[in-house]
Amino acid sequence: MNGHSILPVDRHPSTPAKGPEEFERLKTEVDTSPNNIHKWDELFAKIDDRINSVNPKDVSAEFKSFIHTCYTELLDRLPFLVEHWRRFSIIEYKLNGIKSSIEVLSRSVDAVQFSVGLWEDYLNALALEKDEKYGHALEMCISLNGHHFNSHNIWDKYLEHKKDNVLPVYLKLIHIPLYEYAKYYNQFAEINKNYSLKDILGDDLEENLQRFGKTSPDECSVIESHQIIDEFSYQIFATNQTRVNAKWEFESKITTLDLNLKVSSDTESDNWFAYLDYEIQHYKQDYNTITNLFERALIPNCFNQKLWLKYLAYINVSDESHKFQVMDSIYSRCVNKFIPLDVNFVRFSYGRFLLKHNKVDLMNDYLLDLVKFFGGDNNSKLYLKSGYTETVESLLVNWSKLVGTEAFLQISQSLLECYFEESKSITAEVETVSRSTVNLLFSRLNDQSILVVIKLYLNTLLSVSDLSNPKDVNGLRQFFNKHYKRPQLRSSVSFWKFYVELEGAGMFNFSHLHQIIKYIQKETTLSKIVVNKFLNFQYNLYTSNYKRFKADVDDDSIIRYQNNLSLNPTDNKYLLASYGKSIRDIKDQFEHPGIVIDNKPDITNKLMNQNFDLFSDEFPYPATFKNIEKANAPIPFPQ
Amino acid sequence: MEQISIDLLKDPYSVAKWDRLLQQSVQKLSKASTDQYLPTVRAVFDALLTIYPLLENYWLKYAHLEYELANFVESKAIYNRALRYVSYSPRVWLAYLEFCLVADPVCVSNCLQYLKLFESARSYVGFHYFSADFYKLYLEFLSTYKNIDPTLNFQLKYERLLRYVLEVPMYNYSPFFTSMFDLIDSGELTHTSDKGLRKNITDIYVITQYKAFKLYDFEKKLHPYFDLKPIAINELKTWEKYMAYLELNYPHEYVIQAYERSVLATCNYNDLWLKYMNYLTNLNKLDSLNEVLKRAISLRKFNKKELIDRLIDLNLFNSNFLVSKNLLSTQVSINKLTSLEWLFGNTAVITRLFESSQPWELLVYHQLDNDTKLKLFKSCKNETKEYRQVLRFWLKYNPQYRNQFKTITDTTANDFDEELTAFL
Repeated sequence: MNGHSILPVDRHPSTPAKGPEEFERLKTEVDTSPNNIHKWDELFAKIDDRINSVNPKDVSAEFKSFIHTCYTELLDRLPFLVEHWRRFSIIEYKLNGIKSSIEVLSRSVDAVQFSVGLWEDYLNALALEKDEKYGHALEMCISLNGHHFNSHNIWDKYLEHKKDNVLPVYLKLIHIPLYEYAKYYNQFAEINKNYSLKDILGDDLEENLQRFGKTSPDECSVIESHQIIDEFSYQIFATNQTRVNAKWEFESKITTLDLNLKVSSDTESDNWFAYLDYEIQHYKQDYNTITNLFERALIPNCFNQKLWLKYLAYINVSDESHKFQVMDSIYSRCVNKFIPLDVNFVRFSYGRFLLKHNKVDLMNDYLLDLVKFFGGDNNSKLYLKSGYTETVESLLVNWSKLVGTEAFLQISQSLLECYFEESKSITAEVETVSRSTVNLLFSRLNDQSILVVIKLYLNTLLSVSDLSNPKDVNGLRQFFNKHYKRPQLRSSVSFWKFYVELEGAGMFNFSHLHQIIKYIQKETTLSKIVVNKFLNFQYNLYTSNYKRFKADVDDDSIIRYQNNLSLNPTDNKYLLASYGKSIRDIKDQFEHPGIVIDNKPDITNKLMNQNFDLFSDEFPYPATFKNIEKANAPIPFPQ
Repeated sequence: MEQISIDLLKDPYSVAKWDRLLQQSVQKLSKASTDQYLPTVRAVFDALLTIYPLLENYWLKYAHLEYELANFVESKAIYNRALRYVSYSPRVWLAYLEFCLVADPVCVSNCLQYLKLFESARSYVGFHYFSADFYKLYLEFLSTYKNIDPTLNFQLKYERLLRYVLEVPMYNYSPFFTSMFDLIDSGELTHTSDKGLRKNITDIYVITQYKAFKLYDFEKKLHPYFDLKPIAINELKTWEKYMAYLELNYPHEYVIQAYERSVLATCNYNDLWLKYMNYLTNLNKLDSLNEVLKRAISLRKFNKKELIDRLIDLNLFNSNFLVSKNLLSTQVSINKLTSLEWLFGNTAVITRLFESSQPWELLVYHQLDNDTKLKLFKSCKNETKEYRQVLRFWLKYNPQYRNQFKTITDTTANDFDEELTAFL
């Protein structure tokens, strides 16, 4: 929740905590694969063994700090590992006594705010120590987890704590669907006669009195007022009971409440989704229960992007008054800590969220940081291509929404000119996106992301063009002529697709299309699947327009176009480029693409080639050969 | 047996069921009870082979059965029928030739006929990688009857053929070299003038070995017969690569035989058929292409669409418009039908076609004038996903119509709230 830094990894370039030698190996292993929970457990088991075998007082300070670092590292990385927090607190208790154990527990409930189990441990420990923080912590816990289905232990403590004035607690409690809802109802039923009608019924007083034909509580006899109270509380009990029963359907299927990295179960998360769907459908207004349920569900499913998005979507449509703050904190939690780096939808959704709430600077900072991070800047070895290009695209799309078509064309054109060194600096002058911001993006572009700029530029340009106007068409074609030979574009699917579709389905200019596709086949490095898609597109165009086709293109026939589908005799990308040159090249490189093996041994006067006829009388002449000594030659692989 | 027949009525393409039916009907067959059961067995074989004429094993079984019952005429007829479909299989030819040699002993009057038969077999399977047994039989025939008719000079033919075989790369190539060396050593060679013959043959050995090894790289990854098991994509790719290799390195007749082999083994897949057709198209052999296309279509049970489309294209190219139209009646391809109708100028028919089946994708490809397209888009009653895609694609290039389709264009705005709510 700290600002808008985006690093789900490597937040702690760990000061190498030196442990005893036998732990070094395991420590190195977990350092190299920090997500492997089995390795971590192995390490912790070994630590436990060691601790149990010696007197806690003999443990050196160095080893203590080593243990501390280990746990901190893991729990910083994967904060929802409830079980490990517990083990950490136990080990702290053994080594340093209850004070530091409480310290750990307090950190744990900070990290996993919605784990009732950890809160219980924490509160018990505080109670044991008679710590003055107890009251405050309990209030905090109730406010966070009061609607947790299994929070009865906490409520018990709370009732105990508030024993001087339990009525408001009960009045709140009996409405909440809890596992032990019946217990609280019974307890309430025992005490509720001690209070006046007004205390219990509050605002509902008049309504209930009317049903008994009374106007004020004073008119009721003792029996009558008891009856009113009973009926009132039973009504609440009955609604609550239906709800708890419905919830139990789902609750009973939950097998683990904590994050478990060792087994992954789809049915488990399906159950959570079904549970949430049910709750949202029937009790949409019960904000507290549902958000608590979301938070609970997120503990075991914290890597599940869909769940986070569902949570955000729920809050987005709810009546929450501080929507922005709440959603912002959820976004940054999931984006910074949990969602894996190859799942990025929610990251970009965050950008759009900031845009919607008009936090343009925040959005720019956030996405530009993300570009930098994915782009492998800042000496990190990480370069995630898809994440990187998608982020650039997301940022540019946001800009185009923000500034409108004309200004966006200006920005992207300026980026392109600078990138291809046609002008020295960004010249675009747009009010809402400052030049320095554009410059910052420019400094983070590379050959892959420039393709994104081109794609968005072209699509925007097309959207303002009128194809019946030759001037507009010329603009699009000029862009093609200017750029199509650039080496960056040789692998760009979007660029070629744009022009194939434009010339084909937009302009129906078959000779241009033909030229473009020939060029694609010869000079680009697009994959075979993509090229075949283009050829199929072309084929469909031609066969759909026999009439045009017959009139326009006379040097080639329809069936020849189909033939293009099997690109060349080798279907080989490396040879594709050389296809135009000679069949000999293909022949020589057929078996080992890229390695020329000419001088293959052969018979030069093969009978096979001369329509061998058995009815002739001559004995075949002696065979003549070429390169016979090469028959067993090794393949000349490059050194 | 009745039960199986009933099962087969429900599922006539199951070879396993045919096989059971066959076993049961053949079991009852004995020399004594021929008349009673033979018609049934024949009916079963005929029916199965009508459905799957490429299953060469069953042809061979069938012919052999008749042979065992001494029905030589029927057996020969069966072989002839088989060779209509699997003429590029050396196994069938070998079985047929062996059968002929037994059923009709060689004598002066028919030895020329036999020679022609062998030559015709060679024109089908002479380049086959597994043709060694065929050549063995051929050479054996020539040497056994070398004195039968001096005018035919079998001895010289034997020598010539042996010399020829040496150059064909095949699986079992070395016995022929042994025979050749034996022949040289025996001094019975008709033409002994060449002193360096032995060395020359040794060199041919080196070359043939080299080539046979190269081919083996492909052959070892393939199963060469037709059966109904699915074929792995890797195997299809190997076939394709194999054919490409042969196209580059071997003469036309060789390549044709190889292609025929490959489509025999992979008949139910389009890949090799299409490659074969591409090869013929490139050589401008359009008559062969036509023949191959028709054969492919007749052999296929399912999945003929692409092949028929090609045949239509070919006929259009040859300006056989009526043939194309007739073909369309067997395989309705809306795309082609509209194209054709458009070629004939029947815009009214096109509109009607659209009203009935609404093939929206065509509007991407057909260069109809924008007013017609607009009318067609407007006539839509059921907005499918495809419709929206195509319309959006069209609007991309024709922005002037955008305001007429507000609902379509507005959803592309990609509103944040809407996008997020989709996850709820």
